[in-house]
Amino acid sequence: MESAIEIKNLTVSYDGKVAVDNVSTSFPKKKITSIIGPSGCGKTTLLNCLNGMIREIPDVKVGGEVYLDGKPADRLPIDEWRRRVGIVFQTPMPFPFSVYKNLTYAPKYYGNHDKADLDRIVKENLEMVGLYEEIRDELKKSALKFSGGQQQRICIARALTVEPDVLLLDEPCSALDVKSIAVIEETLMKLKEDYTIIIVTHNIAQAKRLSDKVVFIKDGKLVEEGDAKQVFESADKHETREFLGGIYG
Amino acid sequence: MRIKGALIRIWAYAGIITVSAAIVFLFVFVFIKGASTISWDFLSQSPSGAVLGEEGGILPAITGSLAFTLTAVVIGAIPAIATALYLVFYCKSSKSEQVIHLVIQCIAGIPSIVLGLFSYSLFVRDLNFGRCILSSGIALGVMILPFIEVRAEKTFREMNMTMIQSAYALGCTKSHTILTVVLPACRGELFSGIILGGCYAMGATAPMIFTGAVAYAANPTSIMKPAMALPLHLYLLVAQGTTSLDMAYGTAFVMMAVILISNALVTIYARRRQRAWNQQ
Amino acid sequence: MRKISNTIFRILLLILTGVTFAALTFVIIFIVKEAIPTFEEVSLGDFLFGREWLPLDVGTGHMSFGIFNFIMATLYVSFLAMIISLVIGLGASLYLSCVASSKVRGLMYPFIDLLAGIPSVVYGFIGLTVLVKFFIRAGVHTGSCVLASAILLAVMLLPYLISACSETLLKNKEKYLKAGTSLGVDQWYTVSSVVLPASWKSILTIIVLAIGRAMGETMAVMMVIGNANLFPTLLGKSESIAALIALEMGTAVNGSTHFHALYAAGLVLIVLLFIINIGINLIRDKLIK
Repeated sequence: MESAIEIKNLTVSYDGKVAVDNVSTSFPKKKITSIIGPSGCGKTTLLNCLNGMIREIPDVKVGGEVYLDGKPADRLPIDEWRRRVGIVFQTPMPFPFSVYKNLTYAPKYYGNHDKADLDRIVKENLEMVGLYEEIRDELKKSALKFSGGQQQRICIARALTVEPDVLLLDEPCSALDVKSIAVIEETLMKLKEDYTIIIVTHNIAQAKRLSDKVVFIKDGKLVEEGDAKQVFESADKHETREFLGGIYG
Repeated sequence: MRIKGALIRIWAYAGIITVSAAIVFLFVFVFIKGASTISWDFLSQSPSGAVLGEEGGILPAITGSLAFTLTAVVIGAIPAIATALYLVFYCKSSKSEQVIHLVIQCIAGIPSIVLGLFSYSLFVRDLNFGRCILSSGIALGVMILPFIEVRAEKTFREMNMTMIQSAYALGCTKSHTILTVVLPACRGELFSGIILGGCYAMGATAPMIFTGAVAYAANPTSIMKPAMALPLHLYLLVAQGTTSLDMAYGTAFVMMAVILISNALVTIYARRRQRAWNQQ
Repeated sequence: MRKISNTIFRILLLILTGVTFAALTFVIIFIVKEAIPTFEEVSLGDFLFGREWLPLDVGTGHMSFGIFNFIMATLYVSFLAMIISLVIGLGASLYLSCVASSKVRGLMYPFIDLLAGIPSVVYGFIGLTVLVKFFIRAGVHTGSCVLASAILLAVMLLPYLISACSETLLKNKEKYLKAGTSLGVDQWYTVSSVVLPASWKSILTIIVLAIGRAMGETMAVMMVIGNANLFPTLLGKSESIAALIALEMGTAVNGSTHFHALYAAGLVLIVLLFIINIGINLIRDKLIK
């Protein structure tokens, strides 16, 4: 299987404290990969390495390599790297402007000022997250005035406006209600046709519903990875089985 | 031990009543005493009379105070906000951050009269600017710089990091993120910091007393000329021992009104923003 | 293009920060440098502990620069003001943090902040027309006295004390009050026995900052303290360091010992602040482990 991102011997430490310890794995193209593990195991740090955001954090040491499409990501300019790997965070955080401005923020930054083309980008990306019909008449309204689930979908749409290859999601549903979660999961299943998706979640049922591949991390170390079905039904390592059985929170 | 609790309770009520009474007294006292003096003539004429200021109005003091305040805000606010931005978004070494903080705290600790003394000997005397709005503006600007910097830095640090990271994650450069996301989102807080800093500068007398504020001048036309200022005018009216204090009460009235209005503006603006956030 | 503008922006910020840093450092160095020549004429001991301040040679050939009385007056007024302000302000903070609903708090904070906005000249003016008159009626000769300026200063300190103290108290109340109430104890008992003691450490820090403000205050103090080089007593006249500088900087001849001595007095004020700052931090660490 072809992979969109690969990491080799990745080690991250904050102030000498190791958060990610020699992890190597890969994320297959146009599939959903879930990263699961107990809280504080280094999931978010791993995610931060995948789009280079880790460089913004002071006093951090990173070892190992990240490959984008088989090429070392380090050699890419940092903004190009970030454009190709989009991210959606835990709490929906639209910019405090209108929906339309949120979605055209990045295209305008990349020099697109063609009104018709911007309209098309807004429409297409909102359609992609199944929001266009819902809010087509409210595009000029502040993005902060929508519900949590809608805001999160606006954020996903915003991440898509720069045409990334990979979409990272850091516990995208933990701040949302059940109904919004179902809508977002549906959206992700649809997005998988075009994008490689990597999702960090502590919700095992969600990981089961969504993923093609699972990576289980504990204490910064990769414990087990593999086909989702196989891991959820018959994990090799007893630590994985304990986690899936609900022993850690 | 119940008694201890009851005593604390009495203390709490006594405290808040005393404070509220003091505030109401200060404003009501000045407004009642000053109200009879306030008229269009008072606000639109220059001071005159045998003892200057006994007759006429305070127009040049109002325009002068505006000039001092504006100069101070320009000199103080721009470096303050730039420093806050640098410390929050660019400075990666905690050592240099500490050194900059130390210097800013030292400046905040310098009494305003010493800043006035500094500006007097450096600008007025050594550099031969003479007494002028600029000399005072520099002293006042240095005085309000820490005030604005601390508030701005707090605002930037309290900003939602996710929002900033979202912009980085779209591939935007830092400068673009700061200009299009950070500054617009913090507009309100920066604005209120500058307004309150401006009020602080407007009311300060010590730094301008020998550096640029004078007993009598026409409306300011250049920052290289001296001007009148409301607080100094009030001080001189009192110190010269005019026969009646009406003009002094009128001048105090104007300053208190400016304070009341600016504080109200800042508070209402903050309220509205908070409501906007809560509605999300 | 974006790369270039990003770099320009960063360099611009760096330059502005650098200039700010350099300018502020320069102010500090300038003050120290201007103060030093004083000690070519007067020994540090005489300067700090001398009680005679005769900055001008009026034909007697005798000049003297002793600022002991000014130092004591500054300390006396500031500490007295601090105590008065703390008694009232801490009470008000207890009300705001433990009685008031968040709605009332939201209204009271901006109301109290008004005090911070009032120019110090206006304080001095009201001090003259109200406090000093009151003291004259009460039998104090001329009415101007240390107590009057301490009361005035106390009111000026209130907004800083109240906003900082009530924030600390509120945090501690939210932390401990639930635990207290769940034990069935009266709210005020928890406040007096847990919340208040837990807040002392922060309150000490707040006191240091407020004393700094009090010591540097010029106009309001100058207008009601009487301005006479006397050792401070509660109902007597005196003169603070800040008032000394404000009163004499216009007449001091540039480069004269008088002029440098005013800088030295300003420097003493700054150093005093540092000593109090460090001292209270030491006491705080000793008291509360």
